Amino acid sequence: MTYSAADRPDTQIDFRQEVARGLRSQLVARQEPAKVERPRYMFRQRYVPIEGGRLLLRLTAFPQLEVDPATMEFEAVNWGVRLPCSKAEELPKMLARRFLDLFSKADAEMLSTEEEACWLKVLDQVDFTAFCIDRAAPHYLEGTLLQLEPICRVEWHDGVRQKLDGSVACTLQSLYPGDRFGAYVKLGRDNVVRFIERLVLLPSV
Amino acid sequence: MNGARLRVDFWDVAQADCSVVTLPDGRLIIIDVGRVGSPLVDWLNERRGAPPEIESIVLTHNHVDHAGALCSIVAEHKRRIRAIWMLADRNASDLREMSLFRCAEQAQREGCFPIRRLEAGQIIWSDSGLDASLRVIHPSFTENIQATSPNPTSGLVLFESAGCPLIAWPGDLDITRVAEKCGSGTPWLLFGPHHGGPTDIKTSKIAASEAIHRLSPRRVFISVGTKNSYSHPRPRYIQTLGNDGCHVLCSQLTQRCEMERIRDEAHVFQGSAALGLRPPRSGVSCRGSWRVYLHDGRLIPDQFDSIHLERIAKLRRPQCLYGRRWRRGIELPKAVA
Repeated sequence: MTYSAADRPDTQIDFRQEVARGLRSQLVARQEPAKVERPRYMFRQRYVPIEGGRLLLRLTAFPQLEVDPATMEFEAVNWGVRLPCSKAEELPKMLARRFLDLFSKADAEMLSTEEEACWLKVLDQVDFTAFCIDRAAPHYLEGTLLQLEPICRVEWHDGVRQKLDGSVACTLQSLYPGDRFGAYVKLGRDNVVRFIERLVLLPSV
Repeated sequence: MNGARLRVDFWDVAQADCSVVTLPDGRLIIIDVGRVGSPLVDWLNERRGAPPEIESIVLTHNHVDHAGALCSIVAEHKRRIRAIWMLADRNASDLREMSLFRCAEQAQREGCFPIRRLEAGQIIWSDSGLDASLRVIHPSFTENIQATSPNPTSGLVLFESAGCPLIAWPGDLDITRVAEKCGSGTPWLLFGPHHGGPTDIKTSKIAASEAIHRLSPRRVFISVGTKNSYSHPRPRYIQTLGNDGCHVLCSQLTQRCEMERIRDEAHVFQGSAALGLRPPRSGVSCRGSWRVYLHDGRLIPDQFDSIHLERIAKLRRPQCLYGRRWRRGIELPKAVA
């Protein structure tokens, strides 16, 4: 077997360097002990039920959990929620509680500086618009039924014309085209009608 | 920053206008109510337990983006409204306009509140203790009854403290008209006008630019919707304001700023949520709602301005920071820097 000069391993060891390296690592260890790594886990649930599931808090990403091995507790990152690892099943409830707590305080302008910072971080992780839309009470609107079949069409008092889904349109079955009505209307995203209730007939203009 | 202080909330209501002045005793003065589905209605409805008194509802003009939600508010809260102020340029033969205001007119007939004509010289509210008032400076009686279209005769409402004009709500008025009516008194804050696209910024550019220089407000809040087909706000308007050292805040992100964020519905800053208000049903928030407090005759913005600025600086071409030029190291508007 022949070796070329480049392949031959370097047998020249500089002991002074080795000693210095050893000392340096000892010094580093004395000054700054290695940190205990906190493992992170993903809590694979993006919908948090509120009000018994009638209302959902939609998270934009799975919550990250940081476990502290020393205390065997975990913390939901950016939520300020801390729980023992043995009670992980309570996390959705705690997230809902935390959200409602911050929401109520923001509503009443009672957030402390820390809570305000946490609230901003929480807002970046939840679909706040969907939460507020789901939670909102129906609005009173007035409109005119333009057509009932085959597609139900309504003109609202602001002049906007809208097609209504079959399930919503059945509320207006008792009206004739041209009838003016008032009703409480549950509005969704982009003012899409979700349901109509408390219908009244109005005199024509 | 709470407590018994006068505050003004500029609501994010997408492509519409809505502001609420909260008086130290909790009464509200609402200046424009937004469209049907306005988040203001949700917010008021959630206060049924301790409902606030509504001192006045002021409609700068009778368009659906300013008055669309009036019906919903009146239906729920008519017993708590003291007065509605609006222009008298309604066309009695226009069924759509009639149905827009039917609820309010019926409530007036029931004796719930009076509907007053909005015209120059009227004082909507004043408080000698605070040395503050809200008064109308446009249109005059004759301008109002001769109006052929609502925009040029939009009401111009001025909030003053210690004799200094602080906030101007010009509805959809032309910027030259706003400057002319404000005269030498420059408001610290200008709302809009016309969602950042005053008509004359397109038709008479030089006059409009001169008017902006003459006004030179320190802040401008533009209530604009992501999904607007009018190219609001106009880049020229924002840039002219920026050149004069004005800090411009838009309620929602527009396609000129960053298309990708709009596609992903990634809000820049959710001001409505941060302030405990309700978000609109459409659009992607840029500043969202904004709040100012009256303190010693001066207006103090809420605490989220710097966070918002940090976030808009990460956009691809934020129009309020000179659009694309922001990336090329152009100096920030003076008020921001």
